[in-house]
Amino acid sequence: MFKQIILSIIMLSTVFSQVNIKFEKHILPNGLNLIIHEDHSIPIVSVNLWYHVGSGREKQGKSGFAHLFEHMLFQGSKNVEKGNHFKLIQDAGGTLNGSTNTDRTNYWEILPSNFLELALYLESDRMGFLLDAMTQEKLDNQRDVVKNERRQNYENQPYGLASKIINENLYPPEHPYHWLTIGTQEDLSNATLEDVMEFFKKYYVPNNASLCIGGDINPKEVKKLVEKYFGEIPRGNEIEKMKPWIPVLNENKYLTMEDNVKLPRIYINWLTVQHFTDDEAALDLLATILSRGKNSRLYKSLVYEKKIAQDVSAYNNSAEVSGSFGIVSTAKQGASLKEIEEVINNELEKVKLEGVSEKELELAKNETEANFIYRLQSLGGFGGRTDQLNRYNIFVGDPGYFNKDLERYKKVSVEDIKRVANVYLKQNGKVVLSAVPRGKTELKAQ
Amino acid sequence: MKFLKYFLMVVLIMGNLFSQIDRTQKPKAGKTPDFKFPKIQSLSLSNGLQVKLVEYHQLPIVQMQFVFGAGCSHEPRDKSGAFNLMMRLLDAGTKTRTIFDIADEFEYLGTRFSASTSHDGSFISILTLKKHLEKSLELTADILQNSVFPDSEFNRVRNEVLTSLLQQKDRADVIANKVFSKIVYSENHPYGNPVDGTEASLNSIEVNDLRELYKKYFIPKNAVLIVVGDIKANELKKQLEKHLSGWKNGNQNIPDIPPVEMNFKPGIFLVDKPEAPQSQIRVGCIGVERNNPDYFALEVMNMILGGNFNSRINWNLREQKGYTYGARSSFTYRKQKGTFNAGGGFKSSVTDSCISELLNELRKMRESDVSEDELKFAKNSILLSFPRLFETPAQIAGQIANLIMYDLPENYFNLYVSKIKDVTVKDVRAVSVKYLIPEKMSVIVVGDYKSNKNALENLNLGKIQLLDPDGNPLN
Repeated sequence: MFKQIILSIIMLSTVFSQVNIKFEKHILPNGLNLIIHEDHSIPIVSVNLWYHVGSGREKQGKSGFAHLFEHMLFQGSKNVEKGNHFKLIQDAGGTLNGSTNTDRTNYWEILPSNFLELALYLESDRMGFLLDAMTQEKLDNQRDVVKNERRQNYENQPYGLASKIINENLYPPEHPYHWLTIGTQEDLSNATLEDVMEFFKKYYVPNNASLCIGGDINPKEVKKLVEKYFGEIPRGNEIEKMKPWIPVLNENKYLTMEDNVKLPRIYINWLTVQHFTDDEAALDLLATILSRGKNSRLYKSLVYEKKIAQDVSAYNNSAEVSGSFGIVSTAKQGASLKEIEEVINNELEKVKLEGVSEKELELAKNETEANFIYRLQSLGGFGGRTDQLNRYNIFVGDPGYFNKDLERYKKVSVEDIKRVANVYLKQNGKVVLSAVPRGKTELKAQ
Repeated sequence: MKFLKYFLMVVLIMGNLFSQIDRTQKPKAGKTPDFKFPKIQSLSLSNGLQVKLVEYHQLPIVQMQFVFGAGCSHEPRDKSGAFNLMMRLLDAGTKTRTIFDIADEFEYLGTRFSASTSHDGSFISILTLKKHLEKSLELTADILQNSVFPDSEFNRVRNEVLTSLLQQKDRADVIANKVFSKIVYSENHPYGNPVDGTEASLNSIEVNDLRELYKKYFIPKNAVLIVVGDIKANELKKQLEKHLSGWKNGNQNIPDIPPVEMNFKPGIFLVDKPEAPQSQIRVGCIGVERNNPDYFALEVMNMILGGNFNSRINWNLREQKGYTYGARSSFTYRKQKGTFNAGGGFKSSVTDSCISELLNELRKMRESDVSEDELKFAKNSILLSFPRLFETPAQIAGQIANLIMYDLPENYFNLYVSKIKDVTVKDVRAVSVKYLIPEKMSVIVVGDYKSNKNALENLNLGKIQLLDPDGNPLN
């Protein structure tokens, strides 16, 4: 009943000792993707389930919905009482969690391997039979919990709402990345039970999900069990893929936010590219060259030599629909964001004009390659092997994309670095946010 | 072919009809798989350095962790933060390498080097690819023996730490934790001092203080090296002798940390954070040492009270009332007495209710036995979790580091299992009665004073004592 598509062994780069990530991929008749990754090192099993839906699918006025929904998936389903999802997993010595971003929602359990069937039972019950157990009371409770999550991680955190302002200015209101995944208090208040049901019926269907099971398991048995628990869940309507949409920004937007903070902080952001593109790799390496390590350009200049900044970091954040490049730096007491911005601009100009050295690129690549190996250590959890297999499967359709992914980074040249700096980190076309202590707007960048 | 396809489809449909399963019954667990705690091999080097090795061959990597028995409890009393500065500056230059040489060499190798300190000990962690083990060891050996702590780097890093102290005052959760430690430990005990020091103490530190601590405590006999990685004992020993045998021993012993007095400071302490949407709350007091015989019963008891998602505290305050994103309780165990506290971040308008609920949960633990179901759940969730706590090299090294820090025997993991199994409902009750005494708890609140003042006063926990973010009393 399963269609076997790939049986593949991936050899990671010859630069390193060879590493094999063995897996099989199958697709059930109802469209569920199943990836099996056998590894008997220790007697645990990881069950990792991705739904290809995130806050990018939300409609205006309904922000925070995908994430609120993630919470509802821990509230019990037809055959699992409220609280029992956690309880049964932990009673087995297991652990679990879930998370939501703009593009996807993931859920995972790690258990002693003899409890595999329990995890499949729980995951399939909430994929197939969630709505039977949905109540207004549960929704109200989790809405309150999420509002507290927002207070804790955004409102009551220094600089906590900076990303909200940045996204709102990088992206137009209709763009899927315009709003924060956590949503707004107002939209959360407005979420109704009908919204929950509709969202579930549309996106939480087997043909929009990828299930990766790894660890101390027998692949044949796993296939049978997955078929037993998930096979009867009906396929949902086809879901159209999200289309790339990178807005064009031809002006500089200077914004100021007052916050309960002691030190001002500057955020400079540009629009870049979607993930798994060649330029993403070059931008990632550029970010490393700019701010990773004591000898990186921005760190050395701002933090080490001029001592006007407490910290600086550069990152490229590419996702399914769009991407952005950011530089964030916190001013030391008495330093101004103006001078920090000037130093950053000068350093960027140097890269744009002269490029970077072969040595700098080599360091950045070595570090990237080592990270590819280090992140293979964990089987489960966020970023573990089963999570990575699902990520590759959902976004490029090939769970075993490790090698090709690494290849993207290895082939980046110093010319590429110079080119992407010029193409994306435009002098005219960025969002610059100054977060300053309340009442101290004179500390802003411009 | 076409026929076959139709045939298959029919089978598929039939299959579905017949595969309807009884979901009212949760599946039974299979046979419990064998799990053996990793085998620890012991080596010792010619300079006296003790080495613990666990072989791990799944990936071509090696994780090394140095555990030093000295930490910030061993710095001079008026120089709080010196040990932390010393650890932060370890890789800031040696006799032959500059700060940038070291940073670039590690980055070139893809090796991760980090150093940190705590009240009970200090740690250096090195994660490297197997093929770069030798080069990483050479660099580490240089750092262990020849760090020079350049004046200019000292001034720069001290300023960074001073700035980070300022930044911490933006964060309610950090303030709550620091103020809590300061309140529950008496002023003259090192556990009451923050690891990163205070503004005053940092300004009194000189670079020579760091050099002295380094010279005194960074000697082989005060350290144990834990290695978990893709390497065999004989090869490891050869490499370590080559690079570390020049690391000379000294005479300095590690002084004992003084015992903690059982002083309680009941009452309500508030750090004002005007208009904060949430209050960070800590309800707690002095707890126990890591080697206290009550340790096992406390582990089980806390699991039920506030140690997991389904615990009483989280269930009540998050899943029933929706007052918080998460509430928990925990014991921290140290060489001398650690702490107990319950708390989290709560919606500001229900600050008073959350405090009474937390205190009520403590009372309930004292006043009646936990159920057999709760006990079984707590024990299962501890005992069955073992395999996954020994997965990555860093996890394995961390587990062994705990044994070393607290002088626990190498067969401890097995001992732990049997001790947890032995815990009874009566034991849980006994430790609840002994340690969860609401009248002795300090209640720390970091939140909006104005809107909560009246409600907090009505809790009858005494007059609200207002503190600044450093935990000093305000008038």
